[in-house]
This record gives sequence, C-alpha cells and structure tokens, in this order.
Amino acid sequence: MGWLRRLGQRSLVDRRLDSELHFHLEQQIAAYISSGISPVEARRRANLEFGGIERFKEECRDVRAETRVHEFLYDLRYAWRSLRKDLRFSLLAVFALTIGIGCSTIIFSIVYNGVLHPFPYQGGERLVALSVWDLAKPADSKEGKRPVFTLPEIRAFRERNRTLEDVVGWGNWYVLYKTQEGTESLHGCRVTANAFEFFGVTPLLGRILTTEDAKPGATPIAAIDYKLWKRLFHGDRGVIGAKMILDDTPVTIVAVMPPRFTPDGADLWAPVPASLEQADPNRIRYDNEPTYFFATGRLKRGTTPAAAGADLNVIAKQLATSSPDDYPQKFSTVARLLSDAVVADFKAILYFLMAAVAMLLLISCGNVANLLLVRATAREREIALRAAIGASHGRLVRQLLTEAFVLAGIGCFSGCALAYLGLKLMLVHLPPRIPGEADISLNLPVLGFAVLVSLVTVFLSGLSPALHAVGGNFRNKLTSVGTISTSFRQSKLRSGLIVGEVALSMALLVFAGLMLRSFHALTHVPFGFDPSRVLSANLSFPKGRYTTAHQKKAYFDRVLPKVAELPGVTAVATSIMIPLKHAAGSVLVIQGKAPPDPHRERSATMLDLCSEGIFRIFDIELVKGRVFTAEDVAAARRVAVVNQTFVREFFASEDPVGQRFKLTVFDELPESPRDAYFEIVGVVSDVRNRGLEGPPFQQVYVPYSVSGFAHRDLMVRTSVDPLSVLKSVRQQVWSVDRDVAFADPEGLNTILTRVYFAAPQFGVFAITAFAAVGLLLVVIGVFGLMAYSVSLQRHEIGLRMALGAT
Amino acid sequence: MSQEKAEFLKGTLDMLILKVVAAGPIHGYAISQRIQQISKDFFQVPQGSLYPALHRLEERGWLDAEWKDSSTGREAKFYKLTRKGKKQLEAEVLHWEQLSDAVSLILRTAE
Repeated sequence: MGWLRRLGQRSLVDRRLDSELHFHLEQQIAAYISSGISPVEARRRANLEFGGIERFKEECRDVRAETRVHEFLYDLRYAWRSLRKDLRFSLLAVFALTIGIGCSTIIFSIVYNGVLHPFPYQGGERLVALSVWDLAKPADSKEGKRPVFTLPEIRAFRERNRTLEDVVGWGNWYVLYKTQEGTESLHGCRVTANAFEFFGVTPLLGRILTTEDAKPGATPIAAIDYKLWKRLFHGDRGVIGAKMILDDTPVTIVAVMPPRFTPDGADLWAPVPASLEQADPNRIRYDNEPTYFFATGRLKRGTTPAAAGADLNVIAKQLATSSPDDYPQKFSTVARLLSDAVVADFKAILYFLMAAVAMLLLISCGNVANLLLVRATAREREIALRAAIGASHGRLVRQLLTEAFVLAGIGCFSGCALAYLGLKLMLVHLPPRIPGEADISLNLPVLGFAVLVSLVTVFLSGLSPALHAVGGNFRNKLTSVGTISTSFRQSKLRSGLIVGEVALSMALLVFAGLMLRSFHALTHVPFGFDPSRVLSANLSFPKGRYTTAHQKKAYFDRVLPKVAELPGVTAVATSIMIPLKHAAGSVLVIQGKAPPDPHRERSATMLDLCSEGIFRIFDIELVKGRVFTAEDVAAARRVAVVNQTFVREFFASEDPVGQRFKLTVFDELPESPRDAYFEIVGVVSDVRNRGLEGPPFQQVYVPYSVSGFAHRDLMVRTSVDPLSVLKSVRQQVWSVDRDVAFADPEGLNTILTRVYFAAPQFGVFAITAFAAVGLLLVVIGVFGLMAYSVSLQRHEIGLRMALGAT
Repeated sequence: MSQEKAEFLKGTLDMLILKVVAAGPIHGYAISQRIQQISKDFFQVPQGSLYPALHRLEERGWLDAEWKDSSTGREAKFYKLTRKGKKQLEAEVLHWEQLSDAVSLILRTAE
C-alpha cells in the first residue's frame, strides 16, 4: 500500500521525482563536459537527448496509483462545488434519486427479510413443511392437502429418510391460564423433543429443551415467548424456575425465547409428554393434547425440496400399506420450503411491487439522466475548453461521472433515510402473511443493496450524458457563441428519455388502477351477512366442568342475558363456528334415503350448534318454514334449520320442511344424543361459510342444548364499534364464572381483513403510492427540464422577441 | 529514431530494463547508459522515456527503489529487482526466446 503512504506526502514525492530526473541530466552533462564539450553545448545536448522533462514527469505521475486518487478527490471537490452552485438542478436530481433508491430499498427489505430470509433458525432457508397431497384433488385446493401427521408417522420420517438432516413435529395445545381478572387461553405448542436443537436458537434466558425433558416422569416444563414474558411477567428476569399453572398442572418455566423465535406463533413451547408419545394415535382423544402434528424438516445441503418429497413418499407409501385409512388412494408427499409455504400468494404481490419499484427507479434514472444531459449540454463550452487544453476523453468522462457519483452518494444517503421512515409506515400495513420471525429493517444486506442500486444509478444515468457530452466536434462547440447548440433541441436521447419516463409512469398508473379495481371487486363480494358489527370470541371451559349439555345450557342461560343487556349490544348467541376461523361438520343420513357414499368427505355438511340468536347475528333471511326459537333451545328439541345449498344438495325437488336427518358425528362424540334424528323446520339463506373463494357449503343449524360437547363461541352483534364493547362483554362473561377463558376476541371484520384483504390491501396501498410518486417524478422531471432549458435559451428567446416574435 | 523502431521498443523496453536491473542495484542514468552501450546505440530513444517505464515497473511491484549515495557522492534513486520482478523477467525472456526462435526459423526456411 505504498501509494496510500505517498498520498499523504505528495510534495516529497514530487521533489524526489524532480531530483531523480535532474540527477540523470547532470550526469549526462558531466559526461559531455569531461569529454571536452563546452558546458553550454553539453547542457543543450543533454536536454535534447533527454526530451521534455516536464512531459516525462507527467507520465511518471500518471502511472502512480495515488495520482488517480488525487484526481478523484479533485473531481469530488469540483463536483461538490458545481452542484452547490447549481442548487436547483441538484435538488431536482437528489429528489428523484431519493425516491428511486428509497422505494426500491423498502421493497427489497421486505422481500429479503420477509420472504428470502425470514427465519432466524439454523439453516432457515432449507426448512420444509411436509404434507400429503391427494392426487384426486386439484393441486391448488386446500382440501386435498393433509399438512399434519401422527407422532409415529413423524418418527418414521425422521428415522428412515435420507434427504433431511432432521424432522420435528409440533402441534397446537391450548391451555387455560388464570390471571387476576379471569382466565386466559394460551396458545401452547407441543414440540417433539429434538425441536430446540433443530431450531438452534439460543434462549434469551434459561436453557433449551432437551430430550431429557420428554422422558417419562420428567417434570413438566416450558419455554415461553418473549411477548408473553413481557405481558404476563413484565420482563422479570427472575421468571426462570417459576411455575405457571396451566390447566391445573404446574409447569416450570425453563427458558424465555428471543423475540424472533416464534414457531407456530405460540405463547409457549413444551415437549410432547411421554404419555402422548406412546398413545395410540388412532383412538380419538378428548383432552386438549394434539393428536396431529405439523412436520417441519431441514434439507441436507444440496438437496432440493422435490428430492426430499420423493424420498419421503417412499416412506409414506410403506405407512399407507399398514394404515390405509389415513391416506388417499393416490397421493404424493410434498416438501415445500417454509418461506414458500408461509408467504404463499403474498409473494406474487411482492414481486409485482418489485417490478413497480424497478419502474420507479428507471423513471428516476431517466429524470437524473435528462437533467445531467441538459447540464452537460449547457457546459459544452467548458468541456470543449478542457479538451482543448489537454484533457483526454477518458478524463472528461471520469469527471462527469464523478458528478453523478456525488449525486448518487447524496441520493443513497437520503434514500436510506426515506427507506427507514417508509419501512416504519409499511410495517403497520404489512399483512400477517409475513412470518412473525421476520425482522424487516434496514440491515446490512439491505444497506448494501441501496449502495448497489445507487452505483447502478450512477452508470445508468451518468454514463450516456457523459459520453454524449464529450462526443462530437469540439471546435464547433468552442466557436458557438453563448447559445446552446442545435444538437440540444434535436437530441434523440433526451426525447427518448422523456417518452420512456411518461410510458413507465402510465404503466404504473394502469397497474395501480387494475389493482384498485380487483381489490374493490374483492371487498364487494356479497357475504350473506354484514360482518362489520359482529364481535366473536371463543369460550374455553376448565377441565371437567360444563361437560354435559345441561351444564352448558345452564351456563349460557346466565351469560347470554347478561351480555344482551349491555348498551350497544343488539343480539347475542352462542355457536361453534366462527366464519373463516373454525367450523365443524358431520356426515348426514337422511331418513328414507340411501346411506351416504362412504368415499365422501367426513365433513360433508357444516354443523352449527347455536342458540336462536344466531339468525339475528348473521342477519339470515328466512326462506321457508321457521327458525327455531328460545323454547326449542330450552327444551333441547331435535329441530334443525338448513341453508339453501343444503336443500339443493339433498332435496332438489321435494319439500325439505318436515324431513328428518341424522348427524352421525353425534354417535361418536361424548355427551351427545345417540342415533338422534332432527326434523327440518325451516330453510334460510346462504352465508359464505367457506370464505370468499368457494361457493357456500351445505349447512345445518341445531339447538346448542342438544350436546354438551366442545368449546363454544360467543357471537355479539352491536350497534357500535364491536371492539368498544369488548371489555364489558368480557366482564360479564367472567362475572358468571372467572374460570372460563375468554379467548381471541375479534371483530368479524378484523378476521376478514386478516384472511383476505390485508395482502391485496397492502399491494394496493403500495402500488398507489408508487404510481403517485412516479407521476410526481415525471411531472417534476419534465417541468424541471423545460424550466432549465428555457433558462438556457434565454439569450436566443430574447433575440427572437427583439426581432418581433410573439 | 524511426517509427518502426519506436514501436518495436515499446514492447521490449520493460524486459530490457528488468534484465539490466537484474545485475544489481542501479540508478536510472546508468540503466540508460547500459542499454545504449550493450545494444551498440541501436535503441536511441529520448532518455526521459525510460523514467515512466521505471515508475510503472515499480508500481507493479517488479522493481524496488531506494535512495542512496551514488559514486559521485550525490544521492540517487537505485532500482533493484524484486522476487516478483525476477519471475516476470524469466517469463518474458522465455517468451522472447520462443518468439525469436520461431521468427528466425520462418525466415530461414520459408524461402
């Protein structure tokens, strides 16, 4: 790094060069003198033979690396000065660059941190979610996919595969936790014993869960989530070793996990207990322990998800021969990258936005290029003069590029500032499709991207104007008097840039328009009911209480009137399904008709166990007969109300009212009527019970008092904002029994937004912003260009006016 | 100096310098004297053009320079070959020999 040292002592280096060359000359002179030539003649000859000393000095300097740096520093200083002198130009250019660089950095950060590298887990890019696909079903449908496995299946995958480093299983485990005011339902996650080693994340406090913790007789332990730690324990570091009472069982907290550790979005993680590990997976259990587990594997290095899928398929085929009921007739096992599986359809929107910001970036490049072009045209004389006194083409291009470089440097800095603010704004609107682990911020790779984009911008926008400026005949430029040359007005490059910019911004606007339209269409799908004023919550009962139909009925007889009395509440009901969240179903046997085809799905008909209020909650229209009444519910009469799709499916030409059917699911469930036939008393309009994509499903409503099974939901219709009554509803529920958990209260609108609207809404929000900014850039660009070029032609315009132009 | 000679020199000057410097530390004036002397004044270039070449070779790390007293008592810049320079010289000499062998072979046999 000699040049770096020499950089600091430039005068010394110059002196040395000087004395080296003079030493040569003097030696030569001395040699001539000693051979008898007169000193004057000797000096003349020596100088002649040596050649121009200053020229060689210059050549010597040129080969030195530090000279380049010096030149660059000079150029920087010059560029800075000239940019400050021409403030209007500089502000326009920096503004365009800030927008271009800032917006692309924002989207890059979301894509990089949210889609490409969302998981802080060991080998996070190689994690795959496993599932079994029924080949008889369309590839995209959710119904054809089984993403869950029994523990023996997961064990088999883990032990016999050759493509995965390891496999973990995790299942939902909802537990009740008592707080001072009432009871909460916590989202626990049962994980296989190897899970913590699998994820490879160091706990914030405490230790990881090991295989020892899953052995028979081990004390129940759990690792808790960072947010839960903050909420329940206020960030107390002494929480390790403390016991939480979960479902009446004391569980010792052994770890607090860092904020980015959120598998399954759970509140706490606990090992699968040995009893569960040994349980028969084919027996239906009625406790809250999971029967089925999601399976996540980590690919070996260099293995593709497809290869892993094929490998696991072999194992699954073996499993299918021993338990054929669990597998479809033709199936395929699929390993899908976790980031693909999680982000799913949101990815399309993100890539679309990436294309949009690329366009935005091009527009701003065009803007800057045009400004630089006008500026370079205005400086034609200066450049010609520099060329005339010896600057080479390369040198001139370098100098002009340095200006673009300075602009891009400032643009990069302000672009990052914009991205920082923009990301804060965007994060609020970011849909929940982005996994909770993702840390979307301005981290090092993103900053690197911003710098890279800035450099690309320099070359895209700086190079062609620079080449344009030094091209052509310098003599003409030198002799032209004070006006800008005619080449300015005829520049194809310049008009091409403007045309390109306007075209790009039009394309952006069209995109935005299309997205807005489809979003509008999506939000206006008729839903069958008005979801805006409905509050839903899940009620979980403590173990061993409210198990029978009578007990549940007695409980709701106290709760429902109390909630109904609250101001702002117009209707209240209990139910077992919340649209888009969860539902129940059963196979149906209709009296006097052939038994159902055994190959049809188990959940052939949706079943709601509800109170009579549900018809008012959903604003359901009565089509025929009557809906069931409070008396029907009180007497637990076996009556049913069906929807129109049900009628179309089962009674195409007959009158459904008075027909009787049996729900086979009741024969299997505890606390439910055996071999019970329900009489249809009425038909109601369809509700979009399967979400916005598919047509409604056949559905029956029966009085909730016929069965004691299952958790129940509370639905409340309000005349005000549903969240405003949340607190008082919860108070009323807990005033009846503090031990019943009031879980996941949400407005139906919130659910709808989360499931369907958040992703497109984000897309619409972002693309509209980009399109608006793009348009603004074009307007400012064209305006700035016109203003600038008019000011340059002032002389000529003045002349024309003096000659009589109007 | 004729035009052809100058073109010819450009490609070979680096090798000649390296060869001369290989004999031991030597200053610029002595290098130019040696080259003229050995080549029997075949290479008559402006002596100054030696210096950009010397500085270029130094920048590439083939030559190392040091200021010390010359035989006349004045301080002069002495150049010597680095290990990298030695390798380069060997490579260039080999290349040159192959080239000149090939050329002379053609000249002799292509009649």
